[in-house]
Amino acid sequence: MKHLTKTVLVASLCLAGFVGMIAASGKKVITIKGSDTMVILAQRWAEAYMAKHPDVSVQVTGGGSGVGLSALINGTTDIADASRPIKGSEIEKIKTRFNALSFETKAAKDGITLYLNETNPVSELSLSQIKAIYLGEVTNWKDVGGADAKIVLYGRENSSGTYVYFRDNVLGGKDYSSTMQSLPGTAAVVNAVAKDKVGIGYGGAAYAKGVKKVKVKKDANATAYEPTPETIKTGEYPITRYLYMYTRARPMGDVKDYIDWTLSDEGQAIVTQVGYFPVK
Amino acid sequence: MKKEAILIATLLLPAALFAAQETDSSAAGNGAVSSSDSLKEQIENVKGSVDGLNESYLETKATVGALSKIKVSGYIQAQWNRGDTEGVVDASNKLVKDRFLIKRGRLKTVYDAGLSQYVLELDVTQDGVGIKDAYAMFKEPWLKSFSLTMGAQDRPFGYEVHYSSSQLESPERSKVIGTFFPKEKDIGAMLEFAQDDGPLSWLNAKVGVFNGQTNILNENDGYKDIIGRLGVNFAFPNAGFSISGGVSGYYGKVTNTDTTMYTKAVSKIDSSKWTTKSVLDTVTHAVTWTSVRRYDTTYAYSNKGASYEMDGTSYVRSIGVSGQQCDRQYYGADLQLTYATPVIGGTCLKGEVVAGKQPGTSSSSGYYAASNPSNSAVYNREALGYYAYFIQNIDPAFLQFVFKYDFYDPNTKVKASDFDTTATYKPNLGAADIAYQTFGIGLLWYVPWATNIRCMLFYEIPQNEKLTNPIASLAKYKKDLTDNLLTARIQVKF
Repeated sequence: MKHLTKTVLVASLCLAGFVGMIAASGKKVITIKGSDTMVILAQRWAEAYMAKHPDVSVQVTGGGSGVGLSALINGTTDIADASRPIKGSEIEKIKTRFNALSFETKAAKDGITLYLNETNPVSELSLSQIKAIYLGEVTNWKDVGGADAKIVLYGRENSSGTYVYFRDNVLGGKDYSSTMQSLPGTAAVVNAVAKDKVGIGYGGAAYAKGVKKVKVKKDANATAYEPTPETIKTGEYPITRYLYMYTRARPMGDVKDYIDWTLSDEGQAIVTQVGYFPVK
Repeated sequence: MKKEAILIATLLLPAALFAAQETDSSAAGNGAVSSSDSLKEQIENVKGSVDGLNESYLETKATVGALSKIKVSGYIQAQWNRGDTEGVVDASNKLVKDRFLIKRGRLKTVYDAGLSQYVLELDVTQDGVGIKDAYAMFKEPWLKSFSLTMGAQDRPFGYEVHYSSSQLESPERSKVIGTFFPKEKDIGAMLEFAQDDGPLSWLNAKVGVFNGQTNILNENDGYKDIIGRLGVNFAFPNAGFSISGGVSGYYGKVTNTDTTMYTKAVSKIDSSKWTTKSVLDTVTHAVTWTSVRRYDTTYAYSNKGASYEMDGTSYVRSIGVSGQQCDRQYYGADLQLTYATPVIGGTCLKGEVVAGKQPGTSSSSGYYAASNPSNSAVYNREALGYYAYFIQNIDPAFLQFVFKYDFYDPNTKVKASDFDTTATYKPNLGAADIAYQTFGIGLLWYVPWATNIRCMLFYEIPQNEKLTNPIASLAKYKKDLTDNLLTARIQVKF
């Protein structure tokens, strides 16, 4: 009996110590997972926010929009970054598990940019040409005004929101050509196109360094536009999308403070610095 | 002379140097051509290797791409039950106080090719390996909204039937659902309209033709059952509110397979036989004899099969009905309300009501699925059941609090007093006609560091109709049976 009492006492002290350690660490943690397109932006936001709020730790990880939304459904992240809108089936899963319906915050705007190697003479493409290229119907640059060389396709993996958005909105929901090389991030796509004279890739505007941005036109007779703050804002650039932050329910507490800050002038200024476009 | 020699040498030196240079450059030129050829050859070799690698990559990619279409998932529900004296039964159907069991051990394989799906789901428990889902589905490629599914699948009725057992907030489905739709699944073909995202994503319509058995029984008659549901779902995510629901119908029949011989008393004049009859003249008092046809007061012969219908509060038997079709018809409505309650977490209120004609047997209000031939008569009952859940999330703690009310009356034509032996109609009512209500209270915990694990603690309090003065075989229903049940379950999903 004496031995049992001692054991219980020691166990209680250990438990109290453990709880105390957690309490003593005292730092509020906000976890963010999801879109690779948004990783740079989310990291810049996190750095700036933590500099202003030393008591808050913002942990950012990528993996793709699908990965972030799965984490939101599983309860392993506070915020899911996504470069595509949440799907009805994903809302249903959140509803089943949490009796909530997710809450959407439009955090920034992006023009999905088509990257070409800097030596590629092609400077503009229509949406139908882009579609034909990525469906594998056009396989030579000469068919779209370039040199006589085969086209090498680079794209994202299917967990990427950009992959889904591009497929649904540019390819009309059809599957990518089987010859497309799927790369694990937008940076990898840009890097591949920068080295490949006959390559083409797509991704967020903020990543377009060391490659040529193609002007895009809605149809053969329309004016071609480059993704700029003006053309994105006016909607003239044809492949414009929002970048989102999703929470399981209306954000509260530290998460709400953080999201409100990203939408403030200071937060939106970082959007512009990174290369995306503010929502306001 | 010396000067002349120096002059000649000076003039000849550039020429000699030039000649030497020519020779060197010629030699070098030959070398460059040779090394250029070699380089070209090397580049060709490297290009060949890269092309080979590229080909190999595309082959590997195609293989991996095909494999990525195969998804394997599943879950195990291991649990411990402790019941009152009449709450838990063992494998030999004997009452025991408690038991461990594998309630469900599911392994699901899906081959998802976008517009088509192959699904096979097995259930492995201490009772063996059973089949759950086994179906093929394909979508039309234009609107991607209509799909056809054929095989063993959920019946398209109501809400709880197709709500996954891994998500169910109580240990089992409600009594009416479990009774009307045993195994939840049936074999048939179903057409569905559903849009994941689109202008009609709020609408869902399903209709199917099924055997009318379950996913593990063969069809036993030539008749098919038609089942359908029309559902709507309106979500207002930024308001944190959603409302969904639907109406369902089940139109089917069962075949009476009873081949028991029954006798029936009838009156009949046998025209082929004559007898004599004496007639007394009341005036002369003379007696005369006359020949008349014999009149039999009773004549018994055999009838195959029986069925019972309620007449008032008692069953009336019809015989000679083997092979007769009996209606199995249900209709139902379901409603789900969800609100993302601030601070504590989401709240859900959901319920369903199902009523209809249920052909069963004397001992069970489950649908009539007797083998052919059998010695089970059909008991036609009108049944009603409903349930309601209240679920409250307590989000920071990863908890869900659940309250459930479940009601099932297998025979709406009778009430407890109709079982009384002193009632006007002497009934042949049995245990299968007694109504139940069940109160359930539970706590679900999603383990924060392993979100694929869910722990459940659930306590159920079933209450049967209390009979006042029943026949001896129903005497135990004079009071509420001691059949409360505690379930402690761990579920791991992958």
